[in-house]
Amino acid sequence: MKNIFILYFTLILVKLLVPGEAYSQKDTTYRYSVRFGAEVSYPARMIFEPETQQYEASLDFEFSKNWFGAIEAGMIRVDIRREDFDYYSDGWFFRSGVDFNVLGREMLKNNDIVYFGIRYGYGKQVQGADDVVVSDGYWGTFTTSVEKTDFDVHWAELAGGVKTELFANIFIGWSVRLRLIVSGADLSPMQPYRIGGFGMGAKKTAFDFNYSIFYRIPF
Amino acid sequence: MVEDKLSTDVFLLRKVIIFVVFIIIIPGCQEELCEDITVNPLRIGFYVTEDGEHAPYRVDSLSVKGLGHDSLLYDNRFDVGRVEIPLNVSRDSCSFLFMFPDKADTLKVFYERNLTLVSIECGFVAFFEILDLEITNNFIRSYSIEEQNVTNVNEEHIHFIFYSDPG
Repeated sequence: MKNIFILYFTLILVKLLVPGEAYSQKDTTYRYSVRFGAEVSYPARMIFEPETQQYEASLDFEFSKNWFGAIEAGMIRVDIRREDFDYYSDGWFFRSGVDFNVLGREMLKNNDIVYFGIRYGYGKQVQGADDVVVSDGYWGTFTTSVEKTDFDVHWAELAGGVKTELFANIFIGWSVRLRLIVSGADLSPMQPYRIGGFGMGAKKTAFDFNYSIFYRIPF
Repeated sequence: MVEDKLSTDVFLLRKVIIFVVFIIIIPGCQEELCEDITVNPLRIGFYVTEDGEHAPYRVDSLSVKGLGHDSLLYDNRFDVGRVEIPLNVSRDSCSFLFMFPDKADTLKVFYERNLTLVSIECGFVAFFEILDLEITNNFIRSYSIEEQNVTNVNEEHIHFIFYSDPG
């Protein structure tokens, strides 16, 4: 796992330090910009799954032509009440990484990007359960609780998606994410129900769609 | 001018469509049912020793009950080669009475309990780790612990070894 992090940060560092292609004065298709985003699918999913509340915001900046640094962060709160247990969990997460725009610039006014990227993800949560009722079907039932404990998770992520400029500096976009846990979340007695920013806690891999609205501040 | 306006509108529409098409894929409401096993009984297989190997054995009839419990788990069941008995989730040990045609034996199981959240649909399930057994030797000669962990894997945890020529 350590090796993955070293490789990951080395890649980013190399990309930041090495200037890459030099930009000529005539290259008007490129200018530094910062784009803020709000993830909109998590709030939409709350209509169907009110037990999980998740919010996420993002920031990306084009530090070199077609190369974007990206930071995404958010919070999660899970509150599940059933007849035989109450499960709760809350915490925060962030992802950081780099995207590469494969579309290039077709024309001056077109700021759309189609990108592929990598992310490192980290999440920290607490979880516990109250009023846990376990039955063996013969001897009777046993009521207990699971003490509040915290855990953290590291994951690696592949990203691909689109950001398209709807109006001047207002973007909408979707992305697909393939995630793989590299450390943590192997918990006894409770696997986390859902890991913020990752997905379901019972599996080491997760596949996700994200939809966001962005505002770009051009410099 | 009109063409320009039209092409801008088409351009905008195309973008909105790209976005909306993917919104439809948002996973919808899924009311899931519990499909996992929620009770993990202790499984005991019956054997005799033949040439140093465990060979399957079946008893003619058997009744089983938990000690301190009124109802029977097995009520005069005929031709039995394996039993499944639930461990008490409230305690760290429990005892069972095995009633054979002429004789009876008592089994006491000592274990550690681990509660596991199997899934949100199924809730919590008790897994056990067998620590020790105590058994009387009236009809059952000996035992062996084959698998210490009593989980949702369908396997025998204990072998009861019967006398080859009971009586």
